[in-house]
Amino acid sequence: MLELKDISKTFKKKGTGLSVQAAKHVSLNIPEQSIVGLVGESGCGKSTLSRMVVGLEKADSGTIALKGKNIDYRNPRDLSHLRKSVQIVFQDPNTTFNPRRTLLASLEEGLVNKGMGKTDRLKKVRDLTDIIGISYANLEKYPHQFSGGQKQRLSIARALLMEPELLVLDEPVSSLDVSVQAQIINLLMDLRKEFGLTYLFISHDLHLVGYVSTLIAVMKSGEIVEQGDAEQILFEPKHSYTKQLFASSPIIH
Amino acid sequence: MNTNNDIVLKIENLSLKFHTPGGIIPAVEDFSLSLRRGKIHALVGESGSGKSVTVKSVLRLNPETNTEYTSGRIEYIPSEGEPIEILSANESTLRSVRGSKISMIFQEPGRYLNPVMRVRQLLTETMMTHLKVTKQEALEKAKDLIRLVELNDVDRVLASYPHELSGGMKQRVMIAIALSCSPDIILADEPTTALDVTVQAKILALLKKIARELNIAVLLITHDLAVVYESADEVSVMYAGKLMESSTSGSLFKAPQHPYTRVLLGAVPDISRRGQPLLSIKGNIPDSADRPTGCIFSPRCPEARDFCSLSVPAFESLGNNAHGVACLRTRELFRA
Repeated sequence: MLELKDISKTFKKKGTGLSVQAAKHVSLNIPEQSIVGLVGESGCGKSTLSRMVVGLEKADSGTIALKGKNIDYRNPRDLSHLRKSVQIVFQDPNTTFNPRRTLLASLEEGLVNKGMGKTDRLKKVRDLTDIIGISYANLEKYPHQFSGGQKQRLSIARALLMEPELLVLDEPVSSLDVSVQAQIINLLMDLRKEFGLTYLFISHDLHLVGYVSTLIAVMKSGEIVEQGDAEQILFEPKHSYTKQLFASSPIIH
Repeated sequence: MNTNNDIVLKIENLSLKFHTPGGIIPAVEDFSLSLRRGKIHALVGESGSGKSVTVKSVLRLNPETNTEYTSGRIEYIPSEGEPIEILSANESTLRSVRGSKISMIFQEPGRYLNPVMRVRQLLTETMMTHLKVTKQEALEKAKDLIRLVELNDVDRVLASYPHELSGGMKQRVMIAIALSCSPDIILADEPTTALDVTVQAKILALLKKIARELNIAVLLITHDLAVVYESADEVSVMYAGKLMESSTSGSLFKAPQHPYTRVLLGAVPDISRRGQPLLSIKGNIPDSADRPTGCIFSPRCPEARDFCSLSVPAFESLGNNAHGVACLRTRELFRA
């Protein structure tokens, strides 16, 4: 589906002459219908990587190929192609919706931009809100009238309205309560089956990543230190950092 | 050994309400908990469960203007001297307790450390306020405290401003300040939630060491059951302002009794159950203005029967006194 090859990215700190290497020669392959879990601690570069995948950030070097075709970030047509196929859901559902617009307006905006007529738009929104478990009538409300879990469902709905093939989930449940987190994870697993989606699932929580993913990549200081089949990373981790993450993650036996 | 002599804090049947422009909100109802010296007691709950409010009550830190303590008492039993009832104590008594005998650490240490003071000053100031020590004595003690919280390079840390330290180091400094007046109790409000797992593991180990070696009671507030499992001796589970279940950590994880506790545990991802759906709880935490009748958890409870919405379950202990549950179906649902 998507292949990152030898991606590097450096951020310069203004005025200091210092720089941070957020990605160092990262290569990552996301096969069709897989769930690739990207795990690492804060500052390891996992969010920068996700932003590059959706075209919000441009890599300094390396290539990103979508279904075998290299994406040129300077070419608007390529970028538009990327954005049609790849959507992203962010961590904090409280900051992803315009507080002054109703949810319906926020949800249908992407479809308006696509040039879809009103009847089709509303039907599509209605069908999808049914699936994610939010009543269509509630879409006349504003973001602050929804709970965090509901807003995260709506963020997922908004991403899916664009009919992506790859969904980037950047810490999608980190700001939610445990019981709500479970609802969202179960929903994501159901949606994947229903729409045949591919996920890039980013989290700092190794147990969560381990629970959902088919493939896992462990990232530290801008580098992927270990990647492979989920079972293998979970049960026979090779890299010392992966082992350290496991040793530190609290778990109930 | 759990003798009553170990008890350093008793919260008994605490109820409190907030008066807000939108109406009266019952934030905590009939809540009880005891802390023992040398033990970590975890208070677990999701957001809005009232755990932070309860902990703030221990130091009466909730805003006095709109908080009404409608019933209950909070008794602090110092190692020397008479017990103090916090809710009826006067300001000067409270001042002598706050930050010295009962101290507190928070989720985001950066927000609670004065950014224009060096660590040296942050530490000595507390000691000079609460203890009768000279500046020189306070400085010597500050060095010991920095070593106690396992920070290397004592002089550099003491000379640093908070922003020059990492999140984990700031939390260690926070713990050092909390320890500076030899407290009986540390209230720790989500102390590791903002930290990376590798740092979290070290801070939890440090809290355990402090509880054991200095015989301090720690009240650990967290939403993370795995953190509880790794660090706590005793656990209380709170939901929508009420105590659902309380037990020793061993007993709670081995045989959770309350349906809420069971779903919470089932909602934690476990890699040995890959591919299976997680247990989730339908709906959301009740709106404080629109609280369900009967058992507060009944509308979301997978085990609820019609009678669950009719009467409020009492908190009852099960056989042994250490394990207690508030559920109308406790006997039927009992699992050893």
